[in-house]
Amino acid sequence: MTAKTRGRNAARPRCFPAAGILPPHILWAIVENGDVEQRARALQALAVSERIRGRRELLGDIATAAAGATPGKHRTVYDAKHGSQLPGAKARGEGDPPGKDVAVNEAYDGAGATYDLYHDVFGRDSIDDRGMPLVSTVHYQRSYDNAFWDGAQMVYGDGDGKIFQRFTKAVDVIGHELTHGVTQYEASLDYADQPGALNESFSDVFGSLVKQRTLGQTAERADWLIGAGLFTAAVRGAALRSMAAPGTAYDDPLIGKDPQPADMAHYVDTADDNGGVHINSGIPNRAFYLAAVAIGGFAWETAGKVWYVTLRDRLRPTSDFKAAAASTIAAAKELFGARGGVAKAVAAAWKRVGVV
Amino acid sequence: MKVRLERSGGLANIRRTVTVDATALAPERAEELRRLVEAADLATFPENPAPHPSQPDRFVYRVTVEDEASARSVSVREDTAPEPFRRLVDWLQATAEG
Repeated sequence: MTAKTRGRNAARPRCFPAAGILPPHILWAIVENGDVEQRARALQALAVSERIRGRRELLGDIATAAAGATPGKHRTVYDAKHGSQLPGAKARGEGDPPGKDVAVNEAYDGAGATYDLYHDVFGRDSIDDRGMPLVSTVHYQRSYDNAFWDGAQMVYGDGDGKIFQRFTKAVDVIGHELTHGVTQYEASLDYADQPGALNESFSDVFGSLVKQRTLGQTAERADWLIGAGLFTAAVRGAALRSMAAPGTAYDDPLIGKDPQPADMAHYVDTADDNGGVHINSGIPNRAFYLAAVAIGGFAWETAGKVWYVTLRDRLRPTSDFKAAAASTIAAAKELFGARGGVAKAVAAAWKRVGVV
Repeated sequence: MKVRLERSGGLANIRRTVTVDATALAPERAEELRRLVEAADLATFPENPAPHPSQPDRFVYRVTVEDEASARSVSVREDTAPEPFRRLVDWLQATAEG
C-alpha cells in the first residue's frame, strides 16, 4: 500500500504519541481499561512493537525469537461474563488449545479464518495491514441480539434464544465485523446512505468469502447467505440476508420480512438505519454475487481481489454505488486485463442491478 | 402513561418493539417506571442520533413516552446511551419479557 492511500483516511486512529515508549504490559493494560480510541491506539502500538520484534527475528535475534516473537496473527478472545465491560476476562490467547466454551473457540477460529483470507489471498497483515492484534469479546451482556466492531475490537452477544442464537455461530458474521475494521483503515466509507450501504456490503462480501474459503466452495456451490444458522428454529428464515436474492432471507410473523432490494429500481429511501445501510446493501451485494458466479470458480481469487483492491485503493468516505461500479470495473481491468472475462462480468453485474 | 421501546439497527437490522402501559402495572411497578423515565431525562436527547462511522452495526433505541397531556419520542445509539437511559431500556425489555 502507498503512503497516499493511508494518508487520506481521516478516521484512521492517530499514532499513539508514546508508541515506542510504553512497554507492552502497559499497552495491554490500556487495551483492558481504556476507551475505544485509547484501545485502538494501544493495539496499534502493540502491532508496531510486534513488527520490530519480527524484524529482529529476521536479523537472527534468537533471544527475541525465544521470547515469543510471532508472525502476524495475534488473536485474543475475552469473556465479558454477561457484563458490558470490554474487553473482559482473557479466555484464550494465540496458540492456546481450544477450551470448553464453544463461543470462545468460534470467535478464535473465525478471527483466524478472516485473518487467513486477508493474509493468504490479499497479502494483508490484519485489520490495519500492520499486524494489529485481533481482539474479540464473547458473552457480551445478557440475551444480546447483536455483534459489532467497536472501532478497536469485535464484540459478540449470545442472542436471546428466542429469535437469535449466539452470534459467533456464523463465520461470515465474524468476517463481516472484522471487515468493518478493514474498511475503517482503508476507504473509511461514511456510515450513512449509499456510502454506508457500501460499507455494509463490503462487510457482507468478505464475510461470505471467509465462509466460502473455509468450506472450499466455488461461487456456484456457495449459499451466499449472511448469518445462516443464527435464527432459532422458531423463526421462518434461512439467514439475515441473501446476496444472491436480496429480500428473500426471511419472512416471519414476529420479525417481518427481509426488506432488501435486489436492484436500483427498488432502492429504499429511508431515514431509518442511517439511511438504510443494511437495506440497500442488497444492491451491491447482488452485483458481487452476479459477477462472481459469471466468472466462476473460487470467488475470492477473482471478484474478491477486485473488490479488495477497490476498497483499499480506490474508494473514499463519500463514494456512492456508481463510484463503486466504476472503480471495480477499472480494478478488474488492471488486475486481470481481458483474462477470464472478469472486467466484462463485473460491468455486466452492475448493469443488471441498475447501477450503471 | 405508556412507554414504547423500539430497537432498530444492529447487524441484523431487525426491528423489535415493546410497549408498557403503566395503568396495567401494579402500583409499585408503575411508580418504578415513572422514576426510571424521570431519571432518564428524555428532554436532553435528540429525535434522531447522528451516525458514527467507526461504530457500525450498533443498536438504536427509540423511547416514546405518552401521557394524556403530551408525547415525547427520542432516539439514542446504544454506545452513547448514559446509564439512566440504559436502566430504562433494560427495565422495559425485562418487563416485556415477563
